Amino acid sequence: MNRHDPTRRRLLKGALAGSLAATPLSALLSRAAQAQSSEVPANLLFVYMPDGCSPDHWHPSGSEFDFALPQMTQPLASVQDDLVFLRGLNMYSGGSTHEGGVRKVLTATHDVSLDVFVGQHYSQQSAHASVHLGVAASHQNGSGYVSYIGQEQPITPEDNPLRAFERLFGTPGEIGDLETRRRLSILDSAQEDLARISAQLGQTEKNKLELHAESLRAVENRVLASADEPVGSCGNPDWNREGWSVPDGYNSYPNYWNRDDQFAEVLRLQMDLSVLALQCGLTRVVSLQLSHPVSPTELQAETGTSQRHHDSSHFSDATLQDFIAWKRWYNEQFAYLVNALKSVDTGSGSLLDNTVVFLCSELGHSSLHNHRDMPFVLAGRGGGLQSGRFLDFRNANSGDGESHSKLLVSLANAAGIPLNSFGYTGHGSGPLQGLY
Amino acid sequence: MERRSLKRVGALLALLLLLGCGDYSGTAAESGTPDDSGGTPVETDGGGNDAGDDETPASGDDGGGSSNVDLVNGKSLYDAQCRSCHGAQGNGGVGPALNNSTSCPSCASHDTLWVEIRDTMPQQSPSSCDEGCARDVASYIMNNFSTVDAGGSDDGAGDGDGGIGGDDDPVDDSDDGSGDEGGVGSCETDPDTETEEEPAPTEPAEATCAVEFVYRTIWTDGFTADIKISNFSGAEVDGWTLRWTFANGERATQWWSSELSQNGTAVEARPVSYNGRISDNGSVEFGFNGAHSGTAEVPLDLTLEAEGCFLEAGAGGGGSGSSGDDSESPLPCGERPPTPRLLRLQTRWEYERTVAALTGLSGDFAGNFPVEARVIGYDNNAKVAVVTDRHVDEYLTAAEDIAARAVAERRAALLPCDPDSNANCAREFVESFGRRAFRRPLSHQEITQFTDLFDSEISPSFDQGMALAIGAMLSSPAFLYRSEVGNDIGDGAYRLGDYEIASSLSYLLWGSMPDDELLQAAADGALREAAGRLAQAERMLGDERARERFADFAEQWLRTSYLLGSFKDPEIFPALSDEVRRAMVEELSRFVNHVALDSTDGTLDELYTADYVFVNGPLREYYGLPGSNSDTAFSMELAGTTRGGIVALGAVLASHAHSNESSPIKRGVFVRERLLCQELPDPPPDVDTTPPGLDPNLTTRERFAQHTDDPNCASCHQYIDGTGFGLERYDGAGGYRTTENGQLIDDSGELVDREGFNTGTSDGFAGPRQLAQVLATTEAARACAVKQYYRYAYGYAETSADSQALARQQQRFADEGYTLRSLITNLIAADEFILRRDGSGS
Repeated sequence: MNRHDPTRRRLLKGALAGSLAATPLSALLSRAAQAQSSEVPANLLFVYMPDGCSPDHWHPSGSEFDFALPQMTQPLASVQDDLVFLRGLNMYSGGSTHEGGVRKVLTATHDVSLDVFVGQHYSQQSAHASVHLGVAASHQNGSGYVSYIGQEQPITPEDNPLRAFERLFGTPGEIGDLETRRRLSILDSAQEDLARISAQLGQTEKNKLELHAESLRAVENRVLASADEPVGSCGNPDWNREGWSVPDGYNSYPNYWNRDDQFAEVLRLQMDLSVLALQCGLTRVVSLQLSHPVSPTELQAETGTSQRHHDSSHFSDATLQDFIAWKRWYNEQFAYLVNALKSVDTGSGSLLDNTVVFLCSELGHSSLHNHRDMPFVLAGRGGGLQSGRFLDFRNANSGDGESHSKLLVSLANAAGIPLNSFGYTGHGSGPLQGLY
Repeated sequence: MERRSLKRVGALLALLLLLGCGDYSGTAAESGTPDDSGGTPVETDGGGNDAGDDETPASGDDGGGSSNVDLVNGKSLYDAQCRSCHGAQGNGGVGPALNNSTSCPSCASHDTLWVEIRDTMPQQSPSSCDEGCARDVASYIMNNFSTVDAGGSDDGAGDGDGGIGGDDDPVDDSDDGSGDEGGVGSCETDPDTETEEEPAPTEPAEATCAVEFVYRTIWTDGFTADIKISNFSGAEVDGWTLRWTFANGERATQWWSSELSQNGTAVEARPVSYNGRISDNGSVEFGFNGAHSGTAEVPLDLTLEAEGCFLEAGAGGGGSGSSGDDSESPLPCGERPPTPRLLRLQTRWEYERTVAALTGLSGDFAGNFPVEARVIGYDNNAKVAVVTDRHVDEYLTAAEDIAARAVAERRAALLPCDPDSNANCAREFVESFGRRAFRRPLSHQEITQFTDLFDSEISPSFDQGMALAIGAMLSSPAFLYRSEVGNDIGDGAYRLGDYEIASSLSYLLWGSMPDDELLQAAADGALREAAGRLAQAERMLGDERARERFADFAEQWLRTSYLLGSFKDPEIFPALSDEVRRAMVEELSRFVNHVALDSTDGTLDELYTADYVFVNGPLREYYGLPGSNSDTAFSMELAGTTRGGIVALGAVLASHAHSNESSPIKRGVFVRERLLCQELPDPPPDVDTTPPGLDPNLTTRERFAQHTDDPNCASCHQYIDGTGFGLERYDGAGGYRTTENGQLIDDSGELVDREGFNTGTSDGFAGPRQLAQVLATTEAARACAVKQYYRYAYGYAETSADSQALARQQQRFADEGYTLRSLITNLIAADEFILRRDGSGS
């Protein structure tokens, strides 16, 4: 009976379904990794940093091509030519303060966040529709997440870099080996059960069950693809060279990777992993959430300030330097990420050339808890973005500034999705004028 | 499906105005309760939340008209100074709702409203809004919180009918059920006449426009809708906006000849370049495709904003109008069940315990699973608990590991037979293990499916087959979700099956799977009646698992879950060792369980005012109580004058404070939101929320007193700070102190409007013991305890559809003398416990 050979059965089923068997996933993966010409849609990398900024000390001054960076963004000067600084973008509608801000920074009040949305668009061509990494992002997070898979349904990111690496690169099996076949058999059985439940419930909980079914298919496709050939286009990626690990016997609270004294190292690993995921064609979209709103992180050794991040963000003249120290440190990390992307040669340029990185936060002015003049920076040249610029939108809309929802439209367009609005349209639709 | 349409020709706008301010008893009572009006906001964890979707276009470019400037200014003023208390659409909050005459008598007309605003608003600084300011704000309010001029009058309310909005924006995206117009009141249902019987409150102005909304086609999960706006006003209409809300989670997916935008349930349609103008006796048509999850209903709250356009009160009666029916919809007639049919994904907490009970293994099974997103503080909300591919990866890995260990370590215990001598052993194992894993007997199909795994060539040995079957079952949705979907009993109601009831009971009381006895009770049909459920509940409450579960509820309710890992400055709080923190967590568990399960009194009153504590040596020392400092065992002893009751628990006080100091604000918000269920708005944007810096010469109270001094802050902070000040003798780590910076701490306080905002029920108190006594006799605190347990039990954020069920639970709680045990058993005994309604939670 064929049903006892789940591997074969699954492939046959796939053939009937059309999409994947007709174009084996492995082929798509390789092609995605190879076809990195300047014409391809941009990869997107979203980097969230907590708690806003002091706009006066964040935003550049000067003109589009001739501008100077103030204290907070000064560490980005070394990669300034790879960046586009945006000023005068506001987030409208939705909720207020930290919680409202983090909910809309990638959604603009749309149900699904842009990272998930773009990822789903390319889900047939990627092992992972989108990858969601964090650095102590879901540890004691009482204020929210940037990524949403449905209305008010956040995706909580993976904070453990070792586990994230395993999920992405795993241990490739062979299509015929017993482990792989047993694994496929379990997935197959789960899909059968799911189909039965769906049939019984009809419309009830349909969205939930459909999402579950998609998730099962995604994992199954990954098992099949990894059994065919090494994951993505990378054989044995060079990652975690320093051998960061959880000490043997560590069994305390919080988890080791969520500790403040591991924050910097985990961040470095997650940034490296983000680059690898794109470089190896495992996904088109990565989001990386650093801490969370109302961030309690303390990094005195790295930043020189003993203040916790959120405490420093409510700054007075006397404590502004602490907040600046924090932002400088974060931006140094961001510069590292930009350089890491730049150092990857795709054969037709660097990975940064076909990637757009969106550095974002959930507040504009941190002490005022507003959503105006957001600290948004783009990096890369994906989709043909011209970098090395400073764009000031404060004069738009009779001096009110421009809606960040248009920036999300531009990013979707850069990723090859020709939509005209994403979420909020109170200030009109279309992309951000002058960006592309 | 049948074609459904509704032609609505009516002075919709005028009608809404009347509904908003006139005698409109149905919803007036509802919206008078701030925590219920507009539904419970579903936030993603976190305290702050703003359910109000600012639908209003910020720049009124498309509005036109000279008065537009006033409206824009009015909006700007409103958003800055009024919105945080009255809500984005006037639905109320800390301040009264502006959309009904009970809470806002002066909202009847622009003339009365602007005078009221000028003379009394903002509450603590009435002189700051002069006539011009007040007129603009009033115009904006009377113009349905829109900057698009609808009336053409300079005051935006020329016809004197008033202009209170909010009706067109229920600001309720918490759950699809809340907008379900017919969700309650299935008695004598006649949907066709139901709306027609809606009495028009008054003769509306003559109609000048009409809107027709028709479903051209409806299929299983989608539809095509056509909309036509006709103008017979005698003049050309220039520019229009049509708004409505979908009641059943319908979603617009694709549209033409109009720009549609949907935000939650609210939809807004605007013209495209060529159809903004509607000539006299002309019309425009547009359409859209959409998706639905079972029901696509014609919206009953279509509102048209277009200068010169008035709709007539048609068949619909307006969206909120029909909700007047809802609240009249009588219990005796048999309302529909309040909670929706749900699949409830096991939390990590539940998964760990379920696997342990199922296999007899111990370990950290769910350590790699994604962290749950919390909704109003609870980690088990079914709406947000969805399975992403990362979940599947982790479920699969965990299932494989558990299966391998189960076969290696628990083979004999799990096998009901000897495979060497019994050829049918695979099947017998599948049946016995499957019945426990799926918490119900397997179907024949399932038995075959899992038994086949033993015979497969990928399972050369019995043990490999057994591991594969266990792995497959643990990866199955039938294991991962517990089903609360029930069977159709008509009228949109569903009754849970026997085994579903068993799981509901065991996950509520134990956070784990049913044991054999409970499964047997399900098999016997013993759980359909309240008595049968209560018999099991009594038995189960005697089990240690029930204590762990009730403590879990208490931690989530009181928001103390993060205590162990939260940062407290060791230089300021050197005595707060990990040992003390663990003792605080333990104290909370012992205390709440003692009151709920052990005490002869066992009331909510006792929970607030107990004169005893559970401490061990380290905590005794930390609290400064007499006795051993090294004893690791906990004992129950007198609290003295400084402790006792949940408000004085170290875990609660340390959790609601800053890392370096106490926080009257966090504690005041805690009392309001967690103990009284009175949701507070976020601070308005652009207000500097930086806490006052530490000052060696002042007490915390003195530093924070600026909130009371600044009138703009005080209108909200009067509800917060006065409560938090009463807890100032506890420092940021829950330690007791009488002085701060050398000054005696004043811990007198006032609980303003304890029964609800603007109820005039305020009580002063001196210190935490008196605060506890005030809370213990506050009706809102009693109702809140019921509501919090309800949220936890159903994995669901209540909506207005739950108000009757909640009211009954609250009444029963009162009838039973407010015992905590009755809080648990009443919920289990209620019919709602085994009934569900149609309408998916996702």
